[in-house]
Amino acid sequence: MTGRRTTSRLVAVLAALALTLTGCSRLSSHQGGGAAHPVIGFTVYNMTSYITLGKAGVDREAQALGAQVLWRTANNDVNNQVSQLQSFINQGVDAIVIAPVNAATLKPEIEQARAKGIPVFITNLTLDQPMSGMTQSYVGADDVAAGEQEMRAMAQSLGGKGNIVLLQGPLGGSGEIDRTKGVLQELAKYPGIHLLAQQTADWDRNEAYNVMNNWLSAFGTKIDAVVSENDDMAIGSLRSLATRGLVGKTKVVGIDGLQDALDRVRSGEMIATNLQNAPLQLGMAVAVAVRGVRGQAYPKEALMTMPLVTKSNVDVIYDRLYTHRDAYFQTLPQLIESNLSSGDYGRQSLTDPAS
Amino acid sequence: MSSAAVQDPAAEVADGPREPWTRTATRWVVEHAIFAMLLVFIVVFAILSPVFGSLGNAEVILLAASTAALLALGQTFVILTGGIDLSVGSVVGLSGVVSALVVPHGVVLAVVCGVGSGLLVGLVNGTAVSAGRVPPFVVTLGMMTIALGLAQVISDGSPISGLPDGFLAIANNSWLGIPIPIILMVVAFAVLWLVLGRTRFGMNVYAVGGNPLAATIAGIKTRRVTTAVYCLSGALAGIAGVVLASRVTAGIATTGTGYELDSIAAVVIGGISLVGGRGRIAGAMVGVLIIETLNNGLDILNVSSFYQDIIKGALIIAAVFVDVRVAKRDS
Repeated sequence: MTGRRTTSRLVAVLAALALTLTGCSRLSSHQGGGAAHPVIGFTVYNMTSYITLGKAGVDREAQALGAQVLWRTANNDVNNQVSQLQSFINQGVDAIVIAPVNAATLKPEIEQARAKGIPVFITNLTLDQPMSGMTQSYVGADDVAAGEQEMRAMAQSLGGKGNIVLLQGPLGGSGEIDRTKGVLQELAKYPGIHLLAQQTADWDRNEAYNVMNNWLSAFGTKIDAVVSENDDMAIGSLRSLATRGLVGKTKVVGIDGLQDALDRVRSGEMIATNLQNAPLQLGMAVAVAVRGVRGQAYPKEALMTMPLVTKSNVDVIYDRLYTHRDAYFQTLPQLIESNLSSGDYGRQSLTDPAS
Repeated sequence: MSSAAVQDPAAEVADGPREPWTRTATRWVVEHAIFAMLLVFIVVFAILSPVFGSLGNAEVILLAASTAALLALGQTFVILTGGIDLSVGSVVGLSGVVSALVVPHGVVLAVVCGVGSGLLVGLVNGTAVSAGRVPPFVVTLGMMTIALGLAQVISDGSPISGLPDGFLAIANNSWLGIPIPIILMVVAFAVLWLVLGRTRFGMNVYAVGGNPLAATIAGIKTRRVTTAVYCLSGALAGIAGVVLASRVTAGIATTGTGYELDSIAAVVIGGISLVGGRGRIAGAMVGVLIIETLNNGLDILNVSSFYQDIIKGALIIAAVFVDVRVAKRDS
């Protein structure tokens, strides 16, 4: 009895839903704001500390350009990202920017967007072919160069000889593949440096801590240095080194320029990191998308070189990104315009010399 | 029934079988509150944003709901028997990877193997729970990591892409203008609603969850019923895995990570008791629609994902709060 009652109720609800939806469908047609005030759908894989930092740059840039950003996070779930893209296409945004969850996905949605005349831009992480060929532009870091740069910094610090271990990102992701490639390419130039072991710690502090503990059990003080593909894993390995009193003795290098890592570069626990400037990168992705909507010129690929952060320049960078962040953000749109015109996409400040 | 109670208020004082109409009415309202809640969400979102009310957006919501519903429907059967299935999320990934690996040998075979892998996991779960007497929470928690590990092993941890058009059609094509995943959801709901409400098996599911001892004494083969619900849940998760692999154009081991909790949330919001024996399958369906409507509507209103998490969590607790009160009145 109750089952039947429930069902009739459900039918009524669904009927009401259908009526409501059809009744309103006439009101909604194209939601995009056109060239003057473009609406940009921006979906990111997850609100990591990096993306959260970058969102501030996105908001600043959108405000400066008169654009509206619809911000969505996929919580590392491709299925969510697919729904978000379908929603963007349905509401007819002017452009879409994606920081993809998975490089092998999203083909049907990008095809749908193109069929509707919505340009698609990729940032931060890459898509495989054929998807990337169907998009307008990629704005992101040069991960191969970052890998080379961190390995070079470590090799110089080691004086060209010693034993290292390599902490990798999640295997198969574009960040891991490119950074590993850069590290190994550079490592080949130093015959005196030996790679004892390499393993993934999935960008994660705690996993890196565990992996490092295992390596310390296996190799002990034979390990002269840790090359980590991001800062979180570098910090995790430092926690492990601390339990054996090896901080400062075993050298550590990372990539990203997280606040925690900058602190450790300053204190000497890490020899260096590579700054992946999140507000600059994601802000530039918005700028490129707006240029696309407005029919202005934009690069097919804006690869940013990450500056090396060592004890000598860490204070300037820390001050810029954290202590006096508002002042930096004031000039950010101007910096992005300048970088897009000059082609020196990774330039960090209007006062810096061109690289 | 309610008029009799009004005429004879003493019946309530004497702790008789009848309750006063006020209480009946309150309970009716509480039991149907989620239907009203869904309607309210839809109306409010439609007023706040013209985009929300478009037919295209209804399709977006129902597409997102389609695979979540398959999991929640299976979870409903398991939870009604007093169990729980924490492995469904991993089964989604496993089934997707299996079907993506098999698809070079034929689309139909790929679907069969994908769904079959889910069914197989369900059979192991069900057997361990019913014959092995291991608590469902423990069995399916173990299976959650086993299935994920298996999926990682056979896919070597990387996405299996380059799937043929015939396979991609499963999630991306329509029939009579309706996307296939939505049709699958509606058919699954209709069939399982009939099974639960109109068959002996359905009655047995309630009986096993309500009072296993009484069910055994009444001659119900409780072990067989228990095994069957886990098989059903596994197979439905297998179907969801195939649909999702087709949807995201790749078999990815981690695709379903966390979906088990979403399915449990939908079931709980739908007023199905976590201790088993009580609740309706339509409730789980509405639970899924509420979650997906919230996801979509809050996104369209540009509400930060952090606040969205808080809102959804509060909703789950509120639903259980109501459920506990209804259960107390009933006992």
